[in-house]
Amino acid sequence: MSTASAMLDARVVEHGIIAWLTSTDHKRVGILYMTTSLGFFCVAGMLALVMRAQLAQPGETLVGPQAYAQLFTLHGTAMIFLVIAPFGFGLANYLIPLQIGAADMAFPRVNAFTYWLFLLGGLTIFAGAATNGGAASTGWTAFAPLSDIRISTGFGQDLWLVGLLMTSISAILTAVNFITTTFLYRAPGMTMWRIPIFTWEMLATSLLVLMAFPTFATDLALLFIDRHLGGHFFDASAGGNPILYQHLFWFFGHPEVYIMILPYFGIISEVVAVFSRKPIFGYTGLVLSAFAIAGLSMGVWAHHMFTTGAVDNAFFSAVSFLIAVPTGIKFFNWIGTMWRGSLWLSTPMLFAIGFMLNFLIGGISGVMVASPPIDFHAEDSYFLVAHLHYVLAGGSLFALFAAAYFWFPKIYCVLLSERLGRWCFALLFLGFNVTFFPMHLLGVMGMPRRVETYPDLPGWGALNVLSTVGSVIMAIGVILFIYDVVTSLRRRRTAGGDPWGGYSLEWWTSSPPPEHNFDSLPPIRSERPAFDARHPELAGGSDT
Amino acid sequence: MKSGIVLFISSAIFGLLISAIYWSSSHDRTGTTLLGIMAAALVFGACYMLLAERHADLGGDRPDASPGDERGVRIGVFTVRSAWTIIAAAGGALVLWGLAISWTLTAVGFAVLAYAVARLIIESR
Repeated sequence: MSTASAMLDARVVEHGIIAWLTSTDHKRVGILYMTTSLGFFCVAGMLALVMRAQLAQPGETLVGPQAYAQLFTLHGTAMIFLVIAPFGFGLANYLIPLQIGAADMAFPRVNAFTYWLFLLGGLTIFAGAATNGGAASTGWTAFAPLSDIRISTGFGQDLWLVGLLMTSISAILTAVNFITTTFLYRAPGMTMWRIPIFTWEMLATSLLVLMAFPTFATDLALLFIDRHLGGHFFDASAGGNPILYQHLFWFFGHPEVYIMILPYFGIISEVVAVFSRKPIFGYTGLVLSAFAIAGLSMGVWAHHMFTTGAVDNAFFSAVSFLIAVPTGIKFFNWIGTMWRGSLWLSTPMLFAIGFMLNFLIGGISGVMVASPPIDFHAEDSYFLVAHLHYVLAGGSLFALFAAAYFWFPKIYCVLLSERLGRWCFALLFLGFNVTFFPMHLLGVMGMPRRVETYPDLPGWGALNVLSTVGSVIMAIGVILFIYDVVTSLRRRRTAGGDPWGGYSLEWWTSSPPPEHNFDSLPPIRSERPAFDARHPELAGGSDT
Repeated sequence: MKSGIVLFISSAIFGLLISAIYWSSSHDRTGTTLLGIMAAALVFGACYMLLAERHADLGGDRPDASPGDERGVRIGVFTVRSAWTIIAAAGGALVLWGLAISWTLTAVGFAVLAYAVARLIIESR
């Protein structure tokens, strides 16, 4: 038993709301992160349902143009900054110390601080809806000059800006914590080339956060100076340059897409290996491809700016195409892992396969819009809405559910219902594709995004109705998931320490883990230490 | 640590390379500056890792190390809980809310944040 464990044995696990809220235990902070992000997910999902109701038929008057703009701004901001990325951070908070055999994060109190700053930032963004002018209505990008004080006069825009500054600072500190913990707190024998793929992906994500978020915070600060302190950074009439805003925004914004997907690649790698009953195929390839994606993602920001005419389209198009290569390697490795595996099609695996199918469509449409001639046609159309959602909802969100079903027994020692899980997957998969696939067609037909209504042109009404029906099916799937969680926690069908036959160290300890994480650690001689300890006759490692 | 050093150095080299390629392709000062700052940050990280590695002797870096090898090694104090983290976050929020609402709020926020950080430092002793 390590000294850390011995020292922490003295801890008394305290329950009650105060103990939870003041806890600096990485597991509790992780649960707080994940629960909060799922709360924001429900709110943002309801906003999406209102938008789909408004778009169900042409000329609908459920919400006006200003309210609609606020709806899609809050929906996009919440999903990107308060749901998908923070859920990954929450899961990483819970898992990284467990996966590397550490007792806690390197900076436990900084960890708790980042959670509270994230929560306050999220509430600040939503607080804008209670102000006189309503919430921010400039989209999640808040491009200048639309976000200029002369156009967006409301206080909600300022709260949006301040709230995002808080979440940005929170994300930067979280990344520092993840990197320090991974480098310095690994258990003896847990070399870098033995840490689980999820932890590697979080390391790549954390580096991206450190490279991208300071630029975003700078962009927000300059926008604030323009709005309130007489600055003219983005004011063309006073010699400023609104394109500079886009440069700074997308220098953060595109890596942010990968900040939202790399943790979920890690989840899929873990789930696919365990439910294929094989070591992950191509461990090294998966690790290197994560860093290749992270590196290349820093050089593609202006593919969002093709139509401005102010950037080098050839350069950004070429680098954008290149990202398909390491992403393809990941798909190759996942398929290689499943190939001739003993596939166990349990709910987490179903969500993992759903992720692959959806993300593949999103990836292919991404390659399409990386080509400037196609992008010029698709810009600001529903084709982009479809592409974005296939990557981040069909991709990240499905991996989020895979993670929920996979690690729920570890966190609560309770198994979720397999039957309800399958129904949840079926509804979400069907609902997702019915919602978003028609948007490709609407985009090709020329339907613009971010408008509250549309003309009654042939095919537009039917496809929009279909899309709205799909969103309702998705909502039923999410409700079923919540019902599953609540009823499973009440029934308490005990999961035991390792219901799946997991590979990494979190499956070695009890469920839920003790406050000090491990009473003892097995020898670590591969990236599957828990499996090796249980099956010494099969100990070996990666299938590379 | 060595893998970390390789990671930072290779990332820094990538940053420098892509900055050079981008400049030669576009002659865009904005983008090149952004990429250059990114590369500089990675160089800084790599240098820090090189310096830190001199004093590092981590069990996690030894492939044949066993969990029992670090018995008796002090790794620091882990604080179980702290209310000051919430107060520090509230102070930080006040600082930023003050930017949008009133500079007085910012001043109050700074005071709250400073006091909370001081308490956190005291708490860790």
